[in-house]
Amino acid sequence: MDLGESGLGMKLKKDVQQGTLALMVLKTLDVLGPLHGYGIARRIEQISGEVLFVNQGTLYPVLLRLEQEGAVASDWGPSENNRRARFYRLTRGGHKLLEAEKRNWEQTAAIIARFFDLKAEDLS
Amino acid sequence: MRFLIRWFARIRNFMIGHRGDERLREELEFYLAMRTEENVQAGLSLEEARRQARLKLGGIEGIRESYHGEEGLPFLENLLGDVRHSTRILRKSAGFTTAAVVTLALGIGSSSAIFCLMDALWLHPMHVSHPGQIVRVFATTQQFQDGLFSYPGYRTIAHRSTVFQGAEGGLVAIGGRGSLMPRPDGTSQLLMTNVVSSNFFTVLGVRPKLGRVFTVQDASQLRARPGVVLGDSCWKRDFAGDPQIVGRSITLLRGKDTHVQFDVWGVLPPTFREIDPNNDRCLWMPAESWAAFRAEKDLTSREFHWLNVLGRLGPHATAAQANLQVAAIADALARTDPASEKGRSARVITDFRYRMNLAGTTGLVLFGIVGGVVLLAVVNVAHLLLARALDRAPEISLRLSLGATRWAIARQLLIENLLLALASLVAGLGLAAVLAAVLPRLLVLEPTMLETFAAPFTLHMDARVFLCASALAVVILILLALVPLSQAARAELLPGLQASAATRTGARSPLLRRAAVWLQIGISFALLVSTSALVRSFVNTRTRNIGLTRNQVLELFTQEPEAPMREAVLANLRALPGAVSAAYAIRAPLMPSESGISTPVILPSHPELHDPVPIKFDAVSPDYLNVVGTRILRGRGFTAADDDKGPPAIIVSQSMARKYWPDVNPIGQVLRLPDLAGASGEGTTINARIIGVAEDVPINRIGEVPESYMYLPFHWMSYGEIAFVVETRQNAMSVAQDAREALIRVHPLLDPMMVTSLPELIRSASGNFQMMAELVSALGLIGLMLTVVGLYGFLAFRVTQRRREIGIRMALGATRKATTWLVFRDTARIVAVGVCVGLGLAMGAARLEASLLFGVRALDALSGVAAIGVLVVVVVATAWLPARRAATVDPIQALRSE
Repeated sequence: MDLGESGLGMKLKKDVQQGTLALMVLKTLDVLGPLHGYGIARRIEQISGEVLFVNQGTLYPVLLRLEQEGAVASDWGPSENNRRARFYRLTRGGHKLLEAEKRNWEQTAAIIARFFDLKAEDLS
Repeated sequence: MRFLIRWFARIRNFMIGHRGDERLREELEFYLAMRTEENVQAGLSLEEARRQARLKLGGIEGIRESYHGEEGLPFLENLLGDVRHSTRILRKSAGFTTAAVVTLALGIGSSSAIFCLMDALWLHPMHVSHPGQIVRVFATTQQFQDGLFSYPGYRTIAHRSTVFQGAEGGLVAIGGRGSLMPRPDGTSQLLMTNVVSSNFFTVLGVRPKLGRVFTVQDASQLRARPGVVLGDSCWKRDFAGDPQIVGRSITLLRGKDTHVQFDVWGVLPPTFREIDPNNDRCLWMPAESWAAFRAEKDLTSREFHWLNVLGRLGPHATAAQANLQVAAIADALARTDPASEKGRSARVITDFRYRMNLAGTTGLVLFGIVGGVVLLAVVNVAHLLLARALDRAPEISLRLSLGATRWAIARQLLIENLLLALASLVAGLGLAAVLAAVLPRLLVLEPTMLETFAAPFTLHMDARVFLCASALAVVILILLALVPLSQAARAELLPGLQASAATRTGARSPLLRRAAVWLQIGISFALLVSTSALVRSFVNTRTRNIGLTRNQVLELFTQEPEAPMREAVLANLRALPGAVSAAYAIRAPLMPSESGISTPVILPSHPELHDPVPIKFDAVSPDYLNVVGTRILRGRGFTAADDDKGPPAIIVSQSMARKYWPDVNPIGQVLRLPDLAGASGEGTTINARIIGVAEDVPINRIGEVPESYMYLPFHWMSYGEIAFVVETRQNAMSVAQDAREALIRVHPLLDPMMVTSLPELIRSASGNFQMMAELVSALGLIGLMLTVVGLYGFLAFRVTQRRREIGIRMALGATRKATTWLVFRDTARIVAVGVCVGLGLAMGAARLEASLLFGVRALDALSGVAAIGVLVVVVVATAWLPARRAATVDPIQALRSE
């Protein structure tokens, strides 16, 4: 179950990793609404089919950074089992950022996909 | 935009010192609780569930670091931390810090002050707009490269040249003259007058402080109605700084009793000092007014060369182009107008180069010596740092082993040095400010006079000085930065922790450090040799025979009176209390204002010289040579019989006799001169017979190469000016006022323009020697002090390093004496190599200094032995303490501390 040590999270460089993680966090909040940090991490791990491991040492700095950028806002609130937890929600700026990042990502993915599909006869 | 918002938040966090540690802690607690719950649900025991959760979370410190890294500005925070840490360390080792700061401050302070001085004397550009475009134009002949122009000559070049920009061809002319302003009591006062072309101020771009300056358009008006612009110090001194002066008129004398009114157009700012940096002229008069006022022929004569010429280069012209063009114009003029221009040409150099030439060797030597002192300071501090590096090796190893990166250590050490350099810069600038205030009072640049025309010489610490000092500090910093960088790179983990620094690396004394000590001793040696030579040379100017008496002789300069009045003045002067004798001449030796009067001479004994030779001369009363103490070596001096009725007689200098009659008796040789009194009309000549040979006398400067010189009886010559000399028993200046009144009693207009004394003139003529002797001694002393500090540090450190070795030696039976000797032997070897290095440096310096010395060689046995003697005494004294420390090493202690 735990591929964290060898998974994507450890292999890529920090900023790339943070970049992808930020996108995942935004999308998760977009779909699921306000969530606490632990919830975000678990959801991402679940959605990736437990292939990814979200390191807490990267998650919280990413959340802080998104908040500093105004993409998310946070507040204390009771969790599902009545503990005090900090809930993060997407702001309007966050929505816009997500849209932009998504387009960006799709574009990159499409380009990369085209390269992978490349065959010698396509160029001749 | 997002980027900006984020940085704003980070900067804000940094500024208010916000740390979200609490928030992170709660987040992590929540995470652990959730994880544990999940694990319990998966069937683990509570204990195991908690353990697994912690494992999953990972290192909390790491998370906190990366979280905090996003939160504020970690780089700046680390930097501040480093600064705090460095300050603490520097404060803890106060001895080291003081030594380093004092050493560097001495280097920076003395060099800044010397730079200030060189700047004020030579390097400061003129206060005009775009000074970089200003060039100087000189007339040249075979003998002189820095000649002056006649007014028509100047106009021709100005009209034909195309490389300059500005009104009237972009060239300006300026000639130094004098005007007399009558006083209410019937006497008059000399005002130094700069006669300038009417485009002078517009081309140079000088703005007046009050009123306005004249331009080319005012030329015809200025001829009809003369006008002047006042110099700042004259305005303050003679007109009490009257702000209403503009528009009023001042009176000047033409001849003995014609008063001429001049309108005051404006007053110049104090910063504008033009030609001589030390000379602030009183009046600035357009050439047109001067011609109308004094002599029309000053502007029409082609033979009268009296004008300095400056130009402003056009936007795309270079000094080299200007030089070619001006030389071509002057050469063409010499062909078309051979009567007055034959053999004359012209050259152009930039104003900067002109001033560099003025600074000359003196500037270069000063610069080199200051550089040596700065180098000494830097080497010293490098020493101190290296010694400290070993001291701190354990600390650095410890920090490395605790996980500090090498970069972090290097950064912290760099910041320590940066703080040192900053503190030194501040202290050094303080020192420089003090020196700049004191220096002008120590320097002799002008003779003391009854009335002084020169504005007081002051030094200014301006932005350029600050910039230079800061640049120096930065260079020092970079040099010093190499030490910590190599230190951090080389630091090892284990050895540093294992052994204490004191006993580490006992045998190893890096070549670099030895070389540094050699260099220090070498520089010190060379400085001492230079000091010795320059001080002896200065003493020589005071004691050697220079062909002038060392007795008290008062000198009064005034207008030339008729013969009966001259005799009346002499009688009055001889009657003064304390007067021994009195005489007069048209010129006194060592006058700072001009370079001597010359006349063309034909030598019938040398028919191979086709053209007359210009030879400098003085016309003197019979007693003159006795009064000023110039001895007659062969033949006889003048007597009263050598008047206009006797056969024409002449006395020549020893150099002239040697040059033209090396093998034959010069007495009785004939010289053919123009009739200078002009009694028998222009173009007539006199055949004069040599009656005596006098010893050489310096004409302008003590230490100059003697040239041919002649003395004629006074009545041959009408020059318009005269110098009365009076030998006195007491201090000559104490009878100055009485002597002045003695002249005025004969005629009010004989009120002297200048009163000074021969000792004063000698003092100021040897001022350069004195300046160099004073400055170089001071710098030599500073250098010696720095060397002592550096050598002491090195030796003390060596002893500490070798404690263990010394302990073993003593345990094996070495006596204290032998141990002391060990240190001295070590020192002697270092000094021997250092002196060899110093000899090399001194030989290099000697070639440079040769022209600055009077009566000594730059590097002779006496200077060398004296320098070695001083060094040995100082070194023995320095080595004494470390040697004693070595002798008192307790072998048991030394070995146990291992």
